[in-house]
Amino acid sequence: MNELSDETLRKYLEGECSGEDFIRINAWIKESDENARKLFLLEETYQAGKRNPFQERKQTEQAEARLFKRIGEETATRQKTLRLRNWMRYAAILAVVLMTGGGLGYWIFEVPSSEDILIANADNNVRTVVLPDGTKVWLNHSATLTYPRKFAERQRSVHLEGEAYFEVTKNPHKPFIVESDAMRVRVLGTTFNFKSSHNCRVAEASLIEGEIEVKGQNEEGMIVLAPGQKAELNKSTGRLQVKQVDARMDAVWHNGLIPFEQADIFAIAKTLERFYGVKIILSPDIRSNKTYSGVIKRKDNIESVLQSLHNSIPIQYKIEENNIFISSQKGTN
Amino acid sequence: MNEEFDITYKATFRKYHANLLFYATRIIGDEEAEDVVQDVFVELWKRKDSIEIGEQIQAFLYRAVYTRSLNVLKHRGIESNYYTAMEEIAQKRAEFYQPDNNEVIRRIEDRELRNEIQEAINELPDKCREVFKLSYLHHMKNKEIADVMDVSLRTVEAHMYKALKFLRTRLSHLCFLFLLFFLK
Repeated sequence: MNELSDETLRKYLEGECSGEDFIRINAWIKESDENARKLFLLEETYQAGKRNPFQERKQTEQAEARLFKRIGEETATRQKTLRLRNWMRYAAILAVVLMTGGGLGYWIFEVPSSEDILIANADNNVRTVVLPDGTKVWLNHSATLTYPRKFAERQRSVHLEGEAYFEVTKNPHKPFIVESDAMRVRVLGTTFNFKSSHNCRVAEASLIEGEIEVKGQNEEGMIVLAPGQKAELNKSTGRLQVKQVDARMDAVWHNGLIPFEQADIFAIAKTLERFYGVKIILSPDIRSNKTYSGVIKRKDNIESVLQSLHNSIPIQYKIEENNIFISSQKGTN
Repeated sequence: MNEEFDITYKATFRKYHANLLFYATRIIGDEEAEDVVQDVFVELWKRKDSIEIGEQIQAFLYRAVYTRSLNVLKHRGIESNYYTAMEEIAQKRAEFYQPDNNEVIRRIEDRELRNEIQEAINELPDKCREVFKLSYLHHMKNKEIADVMDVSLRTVEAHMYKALKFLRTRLSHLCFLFLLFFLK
């Protein structure tokens, strides 16, 4: 009987097996049911010892909230919501920003030999494209996307210049890869958001949810991002660094909605400054002990945004050219 | 709505969620396990008029999670030799986790078993425990542990050896004895 080496078993337990290791293990457990039983019992014990009651309690709490939310939706709208939510869960969201010069016009160009399809968008509107695997892509102004008519067996790769936002259909066996001249992003987990610049000195990728792997095209190294992180690659220095950001803000352009999640008035003001190019001055009597969640339409002008804020938050505002003064509403403080 | 059902339903969820999640994760991995467990509980909710939550609920839940997990496995594509091996291991593993295999379910439901492992780890001497926890619970390499704790690699290896030797004896009744050979 050929025994498994300690090293192979260790790798198996810690999830670090290579293809060869899997083949070796498979051969071993095929030798006898006893081998299989031993291996899986060991694995079960090994994993059981890692369980953390505190973490599990938290996990259950979160899952419970999700469950009842889902049941609520289910009872309200029956099937439709459910199907959409599932679809969302299986989609990974990816946005890529690259800068290109020149108006190309919108056209689809098919190269018969390589079966590659090229789509360019010089329109002022955002265009959506659905790839062969169901992945949805929003192309921003001046973006050019190249993808194969049929994806390869082992991976799905596309090339992009310009800015795009992706919702990638999940397939653990076929990683989705977006390449630009400067940077390469590989989708590992469920939901993520990628952003990179080409003509600009900096290429960047921000992750909304899930996990992505970011790599420079010139050996600048590789990093795996956690949600809320952004990788920035400085092309002249070759420095790849990670920052904590509100990643969802980088994808606002694709649907024109600015999301707020449990944001206090300071966070809201900061976001408005960013998107409307205004300066907001908060009076010292403003309290930040309450948070708000919701969505603002990018298209709305700053005044109507402030008006709707005023309707839900006890604040007063005054606009003077590019400066906005916000103070708390008298009497409701 | 049936208030009594709601209360039992919630209690059942709290009681079984973590164990079912662990169970599903063993079969299909953590990416899809949460969805499977959620789906099973949504299904249970939909059948609230026809099902009564009684003693048989544990068997029902494990069976439902198992069936759905097999479905997930079935829909994963087979692409190369490498994946074939992975696929076959996953199949065999799924057989091991069959809900009729009472031993497995009992082990998962048995909190004592888990506590025992954790207690044994906590019985290790200070430094030794710290090293072992970093390796086992935090998935760190010996070299990394040496760096973090500012000790030599050799010291880390000595602690690991000591820890595993202790755990092997202490937990010999749980098949933990294998671990000594695996983790070096």
